[in-house]
Amino acid sequence: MKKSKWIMLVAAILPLSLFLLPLWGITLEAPQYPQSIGMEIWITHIEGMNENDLQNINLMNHYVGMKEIPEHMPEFDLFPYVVIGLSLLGIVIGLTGKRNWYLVWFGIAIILGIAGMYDFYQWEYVYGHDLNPHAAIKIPGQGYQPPLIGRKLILNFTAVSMPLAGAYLLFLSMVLSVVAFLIDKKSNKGIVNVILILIIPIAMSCKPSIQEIAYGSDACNFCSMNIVDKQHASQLVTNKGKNYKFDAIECMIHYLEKNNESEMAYVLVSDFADPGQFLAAKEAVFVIDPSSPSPMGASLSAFSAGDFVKSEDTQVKTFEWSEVKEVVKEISVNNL
Amino acid sequence: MKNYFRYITLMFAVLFTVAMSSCNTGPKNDKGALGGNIAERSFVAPGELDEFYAFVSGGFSGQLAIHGLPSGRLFKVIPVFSVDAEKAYGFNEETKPMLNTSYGPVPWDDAHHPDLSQTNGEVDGRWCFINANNTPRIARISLSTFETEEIIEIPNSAGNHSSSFVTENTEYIVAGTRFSVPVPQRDMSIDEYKGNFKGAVSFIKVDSETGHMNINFQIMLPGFNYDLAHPGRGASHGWMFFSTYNTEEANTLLEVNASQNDKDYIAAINWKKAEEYIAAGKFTEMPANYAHNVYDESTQMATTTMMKTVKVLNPADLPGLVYFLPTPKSPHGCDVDPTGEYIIGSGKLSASITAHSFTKMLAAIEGQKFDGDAYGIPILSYEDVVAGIVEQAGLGPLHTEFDGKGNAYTTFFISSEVVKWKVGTWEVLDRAPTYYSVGHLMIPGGNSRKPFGKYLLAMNKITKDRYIPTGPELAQSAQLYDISGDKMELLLDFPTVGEPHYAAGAPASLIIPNHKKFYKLEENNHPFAVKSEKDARVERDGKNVHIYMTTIRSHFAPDNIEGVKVGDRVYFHVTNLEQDFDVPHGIAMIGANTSELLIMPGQTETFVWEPKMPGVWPFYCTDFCSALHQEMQGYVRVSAADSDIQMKWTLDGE
Repeated sequence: MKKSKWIMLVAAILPLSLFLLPLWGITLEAPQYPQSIGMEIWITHIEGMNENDLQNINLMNHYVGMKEIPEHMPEFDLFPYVVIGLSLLGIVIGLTGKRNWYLVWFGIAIILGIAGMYDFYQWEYVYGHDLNPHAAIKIPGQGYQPPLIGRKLILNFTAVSMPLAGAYLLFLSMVLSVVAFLIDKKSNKGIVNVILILIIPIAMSCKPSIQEIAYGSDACNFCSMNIVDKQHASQLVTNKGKNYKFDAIECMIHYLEKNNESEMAYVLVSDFADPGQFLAAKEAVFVIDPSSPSPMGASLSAFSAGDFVKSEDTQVKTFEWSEVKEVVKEISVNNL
Repeated sequence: MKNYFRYITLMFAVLFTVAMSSCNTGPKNDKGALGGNIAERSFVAPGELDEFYAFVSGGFSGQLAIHGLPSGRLFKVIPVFSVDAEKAYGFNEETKPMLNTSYGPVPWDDAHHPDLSQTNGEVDGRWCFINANNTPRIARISLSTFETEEIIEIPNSAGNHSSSFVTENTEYIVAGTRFSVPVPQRDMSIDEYKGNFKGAVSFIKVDSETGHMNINFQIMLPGFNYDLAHPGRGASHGWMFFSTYNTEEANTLLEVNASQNDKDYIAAINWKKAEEYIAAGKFTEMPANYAHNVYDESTQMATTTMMKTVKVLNPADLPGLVYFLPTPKSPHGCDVDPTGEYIIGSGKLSASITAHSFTKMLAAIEGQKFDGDAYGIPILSYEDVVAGIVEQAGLGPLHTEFDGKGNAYTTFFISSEVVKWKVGTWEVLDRAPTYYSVGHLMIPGGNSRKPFGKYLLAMNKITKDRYIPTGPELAQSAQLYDISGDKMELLLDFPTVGEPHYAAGAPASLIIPNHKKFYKLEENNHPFAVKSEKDARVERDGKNVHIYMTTIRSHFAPDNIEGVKVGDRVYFHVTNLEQDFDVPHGIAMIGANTSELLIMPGQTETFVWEPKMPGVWPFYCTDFCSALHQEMQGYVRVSAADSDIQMKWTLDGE
């Protein structure tokens, strides 16, 4: 039997590991939970990472009116069939040895994976937004939806949502199906295609892009306070595509004291005159005006250079980006 | 002329300097607190954990305090022999039986000597035992739940001081008598003390699985004062050594009359021999009456069983059971080195420390070299058993522990110091002052085969000027020394609960893995437990009303109760439904003639309230449990005795 066939068969069997391993995990970290609590999502059920974690998460969540983690969802009835179906299909395809069909199987797996993630996102959305109107703690604008993947600060908890062993094996299964397609190919043309298929989404995800700030729920990356003031929020986007959001321009300046500005694709500040709109810092005029406080106390605001008309008030000082950084550093030193 | 003036000035300057330095009689650290890194060595940074547990006796508080070393921080006071309203110990229905004795409930005692369970002569971190001196009892404390699990009363004894010391596989806990008494107790003239009073020493068998204690046998010794005890280890395993004083058998003004003999004894008891005599039926089954109180973790209830007999051995009739080793000057401490060869007797009115040799003792017994007898018990010759003397080490030696590196450390009460000396050469190596009047000392594992010779804790009787004053009653105190180097270094003073007599210590790494975080609800077999809110209810049984209540963040269920009447006896059986680390709930009722309850997750506790007036009476959670703790409250409506209000209980109107 050809090597590719073997690899395809392994790829086809791997999804069955989901019956033995959890797919996804959401952990909640907070100072009073030094050993973080969390839940594991399996294809058949949800369980606590430690004994009693589900009860404790539910206890915590009931204060903000979130529903209890469901013991049963329709998906739990469906998923086992989907996984078995996918696996059986892969085995049949593997046995036929038709390599083009390996790619088809890969495509199906990708589509199912994306559909699964979309479903997960939908559940998270409902879980985080469908709140009991009589909840003890109500914070306007605050959502409790855990992140799809990655970290997010939700009130005093950092929610971390990450794939677990099952998801990694599923990913490996997809990769193997592609390897099976490629490995016995005489020309390497296919490799280029496949690599492109794989790389493009990754490249897209890394492309630096400006993100909308979710006012009221996103937290400042420097001082950890919620970002609420649309006139003073600021944002950094690194060349690698990571976004850092700040509640005040002074917070961003402090952040840059320890991080290299040259690694930033965008350095953005809110336009005071047009709240919520971002300006490139280098194209902005900065104003320090004690009568116009900013969130972290520097009384620092930014205006579009084109629109800015200098005031006659002698209390008001204006600066360019390169100057204002030094001024803010000095202010904070003096305050210390 | 000018030169004379200069000399005179110089002389005054020298005199002044000498005078100033001689005035400086306060505590002198060689380097001073800032000279070295003294502060750093006892500093446990925020978020860091201590390296050792110290279980420090609460003395006349009757409790056991848990400190961390090297920080000295106090973590918990475990109620043992005294009631504790904070933890409802002795107040709630579950723990009331713990304090039962043959004299009825006793709400207080004087706790002296904690000792830890051992396996193969090493501290194993399972249980801590401690004695009650006044109404003789021994308690066992779990080092998993850190709660008192068992208390056994000791019959035929008084002044239960030479207790509770543990043999090297926790086969036995010993409990000896300091104040000899008539056995059995009877109405007789005190002047007839001599020859008639007895000093019983008890051997309490410990079940190796459950830790449950029962008195296997008592040895009825002459009416001396049995002061302290220590088990043999290694070669001397199977022997127990008791120091004695008042071999004069005085019954009045003991401070003079019990200090007449130049030598008293260390009693060496062969308990393996005792077991043989028990097996051979050479004992008397004596009528007795003593309480055995056991707290069952499963039912979360304590029960008292009154025990009615005790097996007694008479050493005069049983050869090879007990020998007396003459030891100078009313020995107090009786300590055995980690190898088991040397038995250290500290004559408390002496300037020297006596070390007996176990090998020489066996040889003397073998050679039948006896120097008379006391009430039929052979006395060995002092010269035949003494191994060495630490000469002129200080004044008033009391207690000795070991560092596992061949060194011994003895406290001197009168000269207020700790002296380090070498086992075998008997030379003094170092001395360090204590502030003031040190009693016991403790090195973690220092009375076992495997000491952890890093720190030494000295426990002082007097503090005087060491702390900011608190009226006539000042703080009790312990002092921590670093003994890892050649010289002892004082690191820290810290106050303790009550008077610290003895302490026991163990590495935190030994205790932490067995530590219980909460009680599992499914393992809660309390007869009045309710495991879910839907089972919460109120039941009337004549004048008794039983409230089956649950508590979880942040409410009680039920929290509105009607139908209670004046004259009822209302039992609040409260189950904490939480299943998480560190989420206790409390409950207290206005006007209840008892303490609060403090209920750990998964536990059920009960208090009784007898309402005296019609009205609506609130209760609330006393432990700040959550963000909505202040909302955690409820009401009980109390109606007149002849009212026909129906029993009704609700939560949120349901």
